[in-house]
Amino acid sequence: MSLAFWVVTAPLIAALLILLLPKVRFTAAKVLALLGGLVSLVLVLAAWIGFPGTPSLFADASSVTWFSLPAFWQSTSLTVNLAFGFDGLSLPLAALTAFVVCLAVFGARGRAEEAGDGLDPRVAHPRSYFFWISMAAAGILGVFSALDIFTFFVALEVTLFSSFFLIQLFGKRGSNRAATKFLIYRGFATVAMLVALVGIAYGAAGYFGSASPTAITFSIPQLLGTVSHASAAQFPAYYRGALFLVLLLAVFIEEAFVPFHTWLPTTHAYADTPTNMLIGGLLTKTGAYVLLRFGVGMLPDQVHRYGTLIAVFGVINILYGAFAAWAQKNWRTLVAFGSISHMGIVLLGIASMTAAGLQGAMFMIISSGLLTALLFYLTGAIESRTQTLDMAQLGGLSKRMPMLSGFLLVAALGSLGLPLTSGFISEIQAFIGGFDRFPALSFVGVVGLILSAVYLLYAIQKTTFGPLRTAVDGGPGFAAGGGRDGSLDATPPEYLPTVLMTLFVLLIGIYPNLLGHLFGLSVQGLLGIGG
Amino acid sequence: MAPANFPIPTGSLLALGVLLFCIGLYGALTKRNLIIVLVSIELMLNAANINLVTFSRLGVAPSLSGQVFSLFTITVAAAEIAVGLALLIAVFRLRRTSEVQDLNVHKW
Amino acid sequence: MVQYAWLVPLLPLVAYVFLLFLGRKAPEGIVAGVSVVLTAISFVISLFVFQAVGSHPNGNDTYVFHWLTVGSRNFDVGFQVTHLNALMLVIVTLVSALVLLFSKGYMHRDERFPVFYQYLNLFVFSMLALVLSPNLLQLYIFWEMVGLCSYLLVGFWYFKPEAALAAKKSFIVTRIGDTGMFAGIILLFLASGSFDYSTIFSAATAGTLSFHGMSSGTVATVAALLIFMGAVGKSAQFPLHIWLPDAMEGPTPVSALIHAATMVAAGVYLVARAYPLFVSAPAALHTVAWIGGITALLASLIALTQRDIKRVIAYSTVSQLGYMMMALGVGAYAYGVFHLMTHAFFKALLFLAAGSVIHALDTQDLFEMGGLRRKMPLTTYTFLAGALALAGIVPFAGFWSKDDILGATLASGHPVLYAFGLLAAFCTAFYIFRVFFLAFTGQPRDEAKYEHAHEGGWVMAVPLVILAAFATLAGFFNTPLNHHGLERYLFADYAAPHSAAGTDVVATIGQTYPENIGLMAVSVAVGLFGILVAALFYWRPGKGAERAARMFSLPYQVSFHKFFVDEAYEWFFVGGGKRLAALVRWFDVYVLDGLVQLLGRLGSVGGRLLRFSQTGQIQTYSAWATVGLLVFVAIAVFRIGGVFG
Repeated sequence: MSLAFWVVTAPLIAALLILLLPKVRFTAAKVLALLGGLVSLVLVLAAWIGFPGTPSLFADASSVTWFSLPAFWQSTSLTVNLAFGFDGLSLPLAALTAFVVCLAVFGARGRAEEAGDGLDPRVAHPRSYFFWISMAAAGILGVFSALDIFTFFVALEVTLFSSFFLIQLFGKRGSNRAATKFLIYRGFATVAMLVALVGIAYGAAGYFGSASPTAITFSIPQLLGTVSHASAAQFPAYYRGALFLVLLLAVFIEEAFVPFHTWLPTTHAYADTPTNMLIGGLLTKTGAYVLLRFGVGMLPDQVHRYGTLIAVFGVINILYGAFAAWAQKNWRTLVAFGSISHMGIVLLGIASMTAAGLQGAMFMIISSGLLTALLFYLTGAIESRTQTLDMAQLGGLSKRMPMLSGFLLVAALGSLGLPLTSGFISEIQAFIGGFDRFPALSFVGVVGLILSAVYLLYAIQKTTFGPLRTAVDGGPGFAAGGGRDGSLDATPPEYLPTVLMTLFVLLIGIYPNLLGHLFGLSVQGLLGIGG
Repeated sequence: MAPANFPIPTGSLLALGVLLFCIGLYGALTKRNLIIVLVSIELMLNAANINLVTFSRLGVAPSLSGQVFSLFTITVAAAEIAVGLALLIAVFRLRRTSEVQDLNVHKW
Repeated sequence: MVQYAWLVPLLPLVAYVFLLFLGRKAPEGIVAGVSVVLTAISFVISLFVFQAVGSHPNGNDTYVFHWLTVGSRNFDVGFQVTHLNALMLVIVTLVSALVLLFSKGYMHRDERFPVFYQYLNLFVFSMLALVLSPNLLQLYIFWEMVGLCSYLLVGFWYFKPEAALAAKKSFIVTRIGDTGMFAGIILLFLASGSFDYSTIFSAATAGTLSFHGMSSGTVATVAALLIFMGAVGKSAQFPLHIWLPDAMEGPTPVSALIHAATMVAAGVYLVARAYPLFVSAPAALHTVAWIGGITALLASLIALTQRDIKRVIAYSTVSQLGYMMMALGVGAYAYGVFHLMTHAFFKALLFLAAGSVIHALDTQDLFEMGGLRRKMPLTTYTFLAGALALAGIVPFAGFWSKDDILGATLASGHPVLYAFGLLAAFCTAFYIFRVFFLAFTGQPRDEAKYEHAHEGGWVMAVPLVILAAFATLAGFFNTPLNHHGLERYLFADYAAPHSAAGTDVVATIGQTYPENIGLMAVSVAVGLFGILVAALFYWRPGKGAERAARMFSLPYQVSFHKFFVDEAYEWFFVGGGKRLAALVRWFDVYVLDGLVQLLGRLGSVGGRLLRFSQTGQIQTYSAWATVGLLVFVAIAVFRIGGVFG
């Protein structure tokens, strides 16, 4: 078995072990989940170190035949594999996933004392809590490293229901509706994606063409090689276009692009912090990954053809997300809309189909993942002290929590694309791509850079600057986080995730080639195929 | 074409089956009493048996398998009627009724 | 020596990292000492670099390292030493070292003293790295970094709501300009294939910029204008000048270093650095000149009536930056840079002296000051040196540079701009001496505060004296007496044969304007007249000023309210933006999410209706099942719709 296989199965094994634990304490379950994540992380890093520097090659690939359908309605038998592996695109994403999962698990904690609405469900049911977190982790890792369409779907479904349970069981009161919304939206996206991807596999085998069909394969590396080379007679452009539009619809929902985004703010408003980190930082990035992997990778002509449409939606997302974020009164929904705005830049970069644009989009996926997770982590830490993230009730937090406020500022600055953070290097590449192909649209999109400064600095000014507000000072929630000397700043265990995530935000910003050489390989592969 | 040593034509047998089935179906759908409904179901099963026996004489390779299968059906029907009657008695004990219309706990 | 220029920014970075590790409780002496010493060493190295570059005129020494590969192109970082850069290094390190020393006294016993020095060191590093950038990308990176430091330092006293608002405002307003610059840089990258100055300049002057079928001249004009947007934001030019006066909420040493001497001059530096590009886009250069002229006049008019000592000086900064832009715009490259240098010295001096006053009195309101001459003689005379330099009185530094600019403006055929400049010069002399007379002469207006006043000790005195010396003498770097030494030094960047720019561009840049004694006399006379008017109104306490204000009530109010620019922006951009944001939110919640909810509602209503088919009668169900079966059988038997062939 390859590294990639174990990367995915490590959290899965952890999840099973959590189920098998005879008597579950919060800490025991947490340690197991954390171990699963750490093993994944170490293995991903090992794969990274051993990664061969050649484009469009999947390293550490392994494939197990799962089952085989006999020739029934299709003319040849169809083999379904469990296949995993990494290329330049998926390796950093898998690393990001393992990293954020570790920190999310590490940061997971429940309120020990009983509040008004009964015992914290996370404390009451730690087994189920960490089981679902580990399952979600395995699912997301599976999505990013799957080399078989069927494997990909299994992983996608796992993320779907495990996140659903995380939101529903462990979210705030009233999370039921949010969880249902999440499930319906993303469930629909999954179905659309299934149609598109299976359609592509059949199309590649020639089922829509006039020539006689060949053997069907679900293997992603094989399809990457064959789909875009398939002749018009084998795979007519009409079907490609239709499948691409279905795929695009799925991506839009998965990625929470306007106008299919309304599940995202609702979800973030109700889910707890680790879940928000997983969903905001990782799960929403699967859509962009799908667009790169299957859209650009397999149907590059269609991405070209619908480029203007995608770019228009990209710019709409940038501006809509930014304006909506400006009007938010709560940090969580602000971060949610901010991430929508970021993903608009990804869309613009992808639409350009240039090396800079694609690479910028990949950088932005990683950057937005890190920053969104960091922002959710920090706001979660603040909320555990103030019991609210409503900006009208916050103010002057710098006084009582200088470090948390400082890191919040760094995260906000990264998010608004300040140079030497990961945000900037992503934005400039994506916009170079954007300007290259759509100068007028990109020029409108650039206004988003101003707006991101506006909404983030407004929020920062209201939250951490200014005089300390009475509502914050000495509210009932303050008992939760008071340190020894009565200080409310981050505790050492809280520092670790914050510092680590901040470090990576800065590291990518200062030394972008860290990711650049991997993404560069992937871009070469993609554009080489795209012609 | 039926064999010469078998006087009853296939059409008549099938007609009998159809009649029996329709009577059973009518009974099962309209009768109020559960026992009558069970009896009607038996009628339908027997209609199926007649069909099985009839068709076992036809085809490229006539054999006894149709008749054997009808024996199976009779056995299963006997078991089924036993279960059905047991349920009926249980329902009657619980609800003091054997009317089909009264068993509407699944309404809306 | 030149290859060691990277040491200049490195030392402040070392200081920053060192202070970061010392933490928030570090002793003040060590914090300030390390910062001052390291920056002073940077200054010495800068001097050597300055010297070394001067000895060979084509010294565009560039050292780059590979940073990121994008497709087939590379992004590089590194450093480049030109004559302009070398001069900037000297100015920045000198003023920085002095301000760092001054802050030791000014920020004494501040709770976050070490943090203040951390930020300042980070700023100095970023500013120096900006100056040394070999390409526009690195310039943009550090351009934003200095903006960040400005944000942090303006908001240093974050618990004051005004400081929090001012910090936010400064970042956002400059960000507007920066966004244009971002687009401009990308445009140039796409049109020329590189971020490097030399590549861009040679493409621009050779007319080989190409982008989406636009002509090279158009691309150059658009890109130059976009880049100029960045300069407008950073150098607080009209219409983005509104942030700088508010930025005075920061500690005064910050105002001296960042908002007078260095960062705000970065916009001027940028235009100077990208001069070949601007020269190949005459329309852009024209815009620069007009924006500069308008800013110079507008800001000086506003400065006439402000009550806050720092705001007067801040508007003065805006106005002087306008002069520099105007100089660059009319083609007087060297004079713009020359004024940048003299202004850095005398404006830092004015701010530090004002800081000394504020430190002593704990107020910034001019009408609570007065008579400080007796208590603070050193501050008084150094301020006077700065004021004379600002007013452009012979032989102080400002005279030489400002006069060069005015002369060049007229000589290059811009009489209207010359008139603007002259009027601004009069206002300048008036408002700075209004400050001087109000603060230092006459009788104290607030006795309690006056009693408390004192000089700030040697750490505050030394920088004042040194800067006063420069404010007095720096003009002599570029006079007929030394054959315009600075001009010749700066022009060496474009000397053949190593210049990347084409010959006609070089000719434009290298154009000199002969001294005109008549014009010199006019500007000195205007300056003296301004001082005279100020003296009439403010030297002796009297009602003259108030009467004048009443008499010209409308102009006075317009000036006092800064031409209502802030209010207009507040209403139009901030209000408009907020309204739009609220609209988007409304649309999001009620229309988009409303549609989603409607879909969900449709499902649940539909389900509720279909529920009534669930009668609970098993016989009804089976009847329906039978009907269904019959339908299918009918379809199958009669081959309705061609089923089964």
